Amino acid sequence: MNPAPIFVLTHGLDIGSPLAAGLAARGARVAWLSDGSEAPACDLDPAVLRFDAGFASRAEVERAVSAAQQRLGTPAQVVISAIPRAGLRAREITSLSDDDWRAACGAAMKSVLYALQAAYTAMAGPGGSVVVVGPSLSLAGAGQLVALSTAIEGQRGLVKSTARQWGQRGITVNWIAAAPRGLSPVFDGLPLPMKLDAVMVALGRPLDLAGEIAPVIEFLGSAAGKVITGATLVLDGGEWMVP
Amino acid sequence: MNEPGLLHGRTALVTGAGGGIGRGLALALAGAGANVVIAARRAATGDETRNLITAEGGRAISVQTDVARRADVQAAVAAAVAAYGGLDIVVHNASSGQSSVPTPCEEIDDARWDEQYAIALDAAFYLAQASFEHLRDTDRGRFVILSSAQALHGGAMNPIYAAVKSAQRGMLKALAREWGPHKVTVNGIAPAAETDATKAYFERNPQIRQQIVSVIPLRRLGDMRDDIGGAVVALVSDQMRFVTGQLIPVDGGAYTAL
Repeated sequence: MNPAPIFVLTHGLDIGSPLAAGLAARGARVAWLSDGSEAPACDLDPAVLRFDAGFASRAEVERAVSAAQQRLGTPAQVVISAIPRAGLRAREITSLSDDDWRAACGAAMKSVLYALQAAYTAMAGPGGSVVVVGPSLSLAGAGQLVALSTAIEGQRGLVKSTARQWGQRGITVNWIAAAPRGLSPVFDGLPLPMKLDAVMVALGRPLDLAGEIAPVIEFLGSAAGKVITGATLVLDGGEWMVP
Repeated sequence: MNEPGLLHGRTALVTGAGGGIGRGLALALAGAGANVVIAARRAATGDETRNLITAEGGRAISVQTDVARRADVQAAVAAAVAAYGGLDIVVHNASSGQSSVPTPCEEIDDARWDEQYAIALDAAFYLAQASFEHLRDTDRGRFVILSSAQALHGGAMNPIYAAVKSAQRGMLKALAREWGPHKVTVNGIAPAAETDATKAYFERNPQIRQQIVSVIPLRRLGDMRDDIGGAVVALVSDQMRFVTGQLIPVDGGAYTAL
């Protein structure tokens, strides 16, 4: 019997293709739903089915999830990321236009709302696991990246509230705060917050999306992982060690 | 309760100051000597707050302001500068009337989301842009956001509220890093206040009041002026000028899981 599928939904920066590849490499049946028009950030496993998705409305996301569901069946887990490319330019807040602000903050928050709602539509009966992945920079805040920091913390707040609402319906909702440089080399050129310490990152490196973060996501979707909900799992290699 | 003179000569703009916590903040800031600009959506309620302040001998003006409109926010900042020659303190307190409406996540529509998002976040963005040139490099610039404990624990009642309040937390941390070199502090507070609406609700439901206060170490909700306003006065004064990038619970000890 085939295991229930995992849907990976990616808006903006492509961190979905490495996650999809990592999950597929561990034996999962995976659909990658993305609005990215460029080539994937990594080579896709042929077992990963790719679907075009829009994130500008709930209907667009639900349409893409429905298409994936018709091919693979009801998902047991939905993985979401919405890191807007508009937010990935270092700029002072005073230089942002209203359109910049909406694209980098409002649209990014709302696309996670739509993705959560689409996940609910698909999983409301059988239940399941939702995991939203974002950069850990929002835990500390990043100057010149105010819109992005705002959006990501907003997404994280939405995850916590939704976890409280859906927990007794068998749906867990969790947040993974990953070291930005582990998510994409795009972050190498951005002014990330730093914490000085003799050992700044306990493991000395960011975690690998496909090889090290995908297994944690898989665990959250397992029977043992279903006891975790509303949590922020800080997978930054031991950098911030938040209180 | 207020500290007269602590903010003498400084000018503070408070959004949502036509009632509730915002009015308490305005009264507390004026009581500490600040000139206060009351930004209220309805002129009548803003004028009421102004009259309360002037009756106590304070200085205040009221500016009708829909904080979701950039032009209104710019006009409120301009009015502060015109009336008092500058602006030192911005307190973004305005919040949507829909904030406390129970809302299942799966039933959120664009209209509900957009309205609450605009008041919490577009307004904070407009305020930051309009006020920065006045706040910078004086060593007195303060930008404060009234967030919520739901930014920390993600309340189940309304996911929109939890999301926008959490987003404000991300914003104030990032802005604190960006504006620190310009000597502007950026902080937030997460209040637990007994508002007029809360008082009326508790009078009808005394057992719920008992349930709530029983889990607060100080066994009461905060007074809007003396407890919440007092904390904001301290935060924007020189006494706390080395604090920035923090969301501080002012809640009698209700949330200690940080």
